[in-house]
Amino acid sequence: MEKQYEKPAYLKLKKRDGIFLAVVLVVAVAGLLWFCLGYSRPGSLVEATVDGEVLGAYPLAEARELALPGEEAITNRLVIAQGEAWMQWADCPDQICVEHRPISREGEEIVCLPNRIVVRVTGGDGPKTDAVAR
Amino acid sequence: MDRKKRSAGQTCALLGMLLALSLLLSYVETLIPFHFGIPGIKLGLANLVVLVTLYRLGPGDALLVSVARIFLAGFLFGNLASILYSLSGGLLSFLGMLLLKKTGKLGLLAVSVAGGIFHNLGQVLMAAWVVENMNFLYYMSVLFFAGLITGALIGIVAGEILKRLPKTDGRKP
Repeated sequence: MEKQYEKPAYLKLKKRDGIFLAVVLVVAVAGLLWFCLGYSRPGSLVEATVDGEVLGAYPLAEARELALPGEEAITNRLVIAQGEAWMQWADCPDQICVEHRPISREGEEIVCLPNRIVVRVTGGDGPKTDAVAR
Repeated sequence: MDRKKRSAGQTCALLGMLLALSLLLSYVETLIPFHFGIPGIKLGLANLVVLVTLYRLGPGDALLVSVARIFLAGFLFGNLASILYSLSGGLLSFLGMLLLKKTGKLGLLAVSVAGGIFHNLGQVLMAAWVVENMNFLYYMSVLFFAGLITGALIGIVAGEILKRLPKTDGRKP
């Protein structure tokens, strides 16, 4: 007679698994909360850096289009409008920074890995002029 | 199938098939529109194959399939940079899963969850190393949660597969 199917031990949820998963879940939810609450203050400036060198800081309230890292060698185009900043275009194939959601709150950032560009929102005083209301 | 009892031809066919399957899953994954505005969040379907291989055939075969898939998928759908990130995520994930499995204290689901989180950790670490002034915690806070969810999903599916997949010598699972 064929042997009865026995569930292997690794498919059974034991108490230890429950404890491990609960701890991980608590850490994950704490991280998510920290992410939501920690990045809730609206910023006022957009700072762009390449290789850690600051290219400039631009007010979020003023709409503009920026060529990064400079007009001589453009790898990325950043748009600031309606109190938000987003990457409009990048010369790399993966387009991860282009798909990143627009940023507007202090501490948020968009990273372009291949071109080593970081665009970060700074200045927690909020937009000095409301771009929408203006 | 025991690694020692296999002929070279059997190894080649078996691992080749697993590699093809994981490569296909990598491709399927690129078709799923899964954008949350934070880069790095993805299902990790290919990890299904790695998990099943790890539990059914062993760490050596799983590592081989995983690394070969990363290079092939990178050359097919990505670039050298994406290989670098996949590799750091894939290797850290594999190492984490293997060590947790070796302890013998945790089951498949917990191992898979750890794998998902370690994968994202590896990628963010690599990104933070390349772009030095990147905000590590900004990304890791979201990707930790994402790794937990995707790792759990993949773990559940891998468990269902392992329950049904016959052993390579034809015995029931």
